[in-house]
Amino acid sequence: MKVSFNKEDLSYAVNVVHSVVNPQSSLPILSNILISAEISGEVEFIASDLETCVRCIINGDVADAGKLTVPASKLLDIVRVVPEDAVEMEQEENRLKIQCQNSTYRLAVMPPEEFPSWPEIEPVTSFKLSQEGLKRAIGKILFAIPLREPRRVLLGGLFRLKDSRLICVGTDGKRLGYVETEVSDITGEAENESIVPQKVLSELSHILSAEGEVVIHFGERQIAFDLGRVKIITSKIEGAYPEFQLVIPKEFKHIVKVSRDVLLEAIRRAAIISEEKTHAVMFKFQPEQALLSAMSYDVGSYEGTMPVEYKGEEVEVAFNHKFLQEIVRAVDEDEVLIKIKSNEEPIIFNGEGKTDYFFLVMPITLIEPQEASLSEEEEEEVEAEEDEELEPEDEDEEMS
Amino acid sequence: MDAFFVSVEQAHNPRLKRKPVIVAGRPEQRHGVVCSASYEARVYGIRAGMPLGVARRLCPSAIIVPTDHTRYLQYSEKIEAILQEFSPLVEMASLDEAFVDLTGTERLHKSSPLGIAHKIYKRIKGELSLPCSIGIASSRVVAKVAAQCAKPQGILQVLPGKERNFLRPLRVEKMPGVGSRTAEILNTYGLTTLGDLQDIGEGWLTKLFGVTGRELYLYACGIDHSPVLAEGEPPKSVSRSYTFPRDLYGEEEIKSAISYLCELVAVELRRLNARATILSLCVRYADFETLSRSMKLSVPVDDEIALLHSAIQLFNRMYDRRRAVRLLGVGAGGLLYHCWQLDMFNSLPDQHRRQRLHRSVDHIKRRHGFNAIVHGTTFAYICPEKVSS
Repeated sequence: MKVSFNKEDLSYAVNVVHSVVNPQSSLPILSNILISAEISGEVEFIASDLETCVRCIINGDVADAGKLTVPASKLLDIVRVVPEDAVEMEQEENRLKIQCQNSTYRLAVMPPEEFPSWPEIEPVTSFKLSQEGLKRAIGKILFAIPLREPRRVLLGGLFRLKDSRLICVGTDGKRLGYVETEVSDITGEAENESIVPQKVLSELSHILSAEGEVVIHFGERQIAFDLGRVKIITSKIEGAYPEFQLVIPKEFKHIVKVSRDVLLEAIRRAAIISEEKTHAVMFKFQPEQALLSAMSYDVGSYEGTMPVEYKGEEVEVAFNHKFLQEIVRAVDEDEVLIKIKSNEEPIIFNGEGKTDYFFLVMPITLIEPQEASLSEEEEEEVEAEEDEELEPEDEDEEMS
Repeated sequence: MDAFFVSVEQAHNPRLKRKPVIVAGRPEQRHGVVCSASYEARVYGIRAGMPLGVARRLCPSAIIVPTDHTRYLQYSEKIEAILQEFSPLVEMASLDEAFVDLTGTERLHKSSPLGIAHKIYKRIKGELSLPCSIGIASSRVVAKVAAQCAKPQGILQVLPGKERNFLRPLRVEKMPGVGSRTAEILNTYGLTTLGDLQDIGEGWLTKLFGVTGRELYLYACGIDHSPVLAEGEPPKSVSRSYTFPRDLYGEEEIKSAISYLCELVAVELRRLNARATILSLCVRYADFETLSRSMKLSVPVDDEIALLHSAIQLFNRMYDRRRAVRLLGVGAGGLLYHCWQLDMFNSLPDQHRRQRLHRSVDHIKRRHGFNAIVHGTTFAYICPEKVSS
């Protein structure tokens, strides 16, 4: 193999495929990148961790076609430091010579035959949407997807195709991001869904650009993203995604409108004092203002106010400020609507007007110490009940 | 308390008094271990922790009584109530051991510490018919050693300034925190008494044992500044472990015992008004190999079913079915008080129903004893004969 690249193109290709490489893999070949150069001038870079494969094609001046694999992390380090100029690669027996201006590297190579073959996917459903649309959708769900979680299905984002729209959902059970996007050119089954691993979504959010389109294929066990030069195939996360629609409140007792920037700054001020374990910040919504407070036993306390548009009765809710900051930042509009049913149920955050997205946040409980055990009054009540016969209404209540 | 379990049984059944009595795991099963022995039984060389078979051989006439932890807990609570009448600062170190800070109470009780100790002794003996021993000193560690030396049924006061001399002739094993392993190491260097530790000095002990060595030296000199903590800081974890009266075989039996421990932990969590975010499980096999594993819980819990679910996951990861289990322990850590993150997939009506159920169950347990109402899985552990029939 003998090929020469523009440094910028090479750097792009190595950066794109490098992210799936697992340096701790038990198979040494998986810490390598497969490079194959065709005489037509197309050079293909492939990396894999057996779950996910990424391929990136760039153009180069191919003098000799060929195929080899080189250590991914070393190649990345090299393309980061070489000067902005043409980079030449040439195979010398079991070494790859990389030359750029007055630097020459010789990297050990491994035989390309050992590298896992590119998986072929048989699409059940395929559709197309803009890269910008997908990037926006991922931005609204990615922060809610946990990196570690015993409920495995939550380790990815839900991609559900329904009524010519793509619904994307991400949640860790404490917050949830939901967004709908228009899609086109649907072939195959019109309704289908897949759970896409967090790692792939994170990778996509970096690669997707403001222009161009992306074709998504749902297979039986895999899902593929075709961006043209870049293609990603990954195994779906198996299992049933939780019935998130059931937890979305339909009616609200309190709706608060607040400026996005005012809210963000207020949260930041309170967060400094919030308790380390729960990151709790208390909000007391009153007509025309909200009182914010935070307390940490060994640090101190904070109290502050912010203006809001609200007319209902007073309501108190506590949130993890980290969740709140991420969500408020993901709101596109200048005004944020906070829709509260009760301070124990999911609370909706979205922008003002008709939006194709919303976020849910679960509050933090505010339990007064006496509530969990029987209070003295309750004890007496129980004792009295024990003396008499149980009243039927009480039993009904227990059953309901 | 002197031979606490036995004393409680004797107080409950006066016919057992002044007889060699052993409290142990179920006597009908060969694998019982002696939990407590009366002083009459100790004459025969019977000690706590001894296999029941050995104890029987040493004293064939000994009366063997099965353990009843609910009863011991009730008595322990009564002891605490009596002690609290003498000082607000009472720390129950275990079921049968307490520290009481009497600083500044002489005028209130119109009596010296020794006089107060006599009053405490008489109240416990009179009201509960339980014998106890009391040590009085200027620090916790010396008071504890003094109480040990005063056993049975004695009161020993170490006057301020005399701590070093009091401790000097005692063997190193008398010191709290010095187990058989540490004592063995000290003995190999010819250090057999606390006086030897005082003489060898802090530097040498620190070199040998690190931070513990420094503590050991201070203790040996009778120096201990740790205060008596009444309720103190809320605990950071809750755990319950149990060495079973006989070794457990078979998955069902072990899981049922884990369920019992989970229930104990959950009841305590709810009493503290706390939720756990970390669960740990400890298993000791009959060959004394001890394994422990822990996991982070996705939702803060105070519910035995959720604890059991995770504990079984941990157990399945570490269980070796070829070996019998001697001890199990369930621990709940990362406790959150009054304030925790809710999860949207735990339905709210469900949670409220469960909370009401817990409140009622806990009330029944408090009133009629822990075993009065238990989960089905736990029941198999408490009453195996009823389940198998």
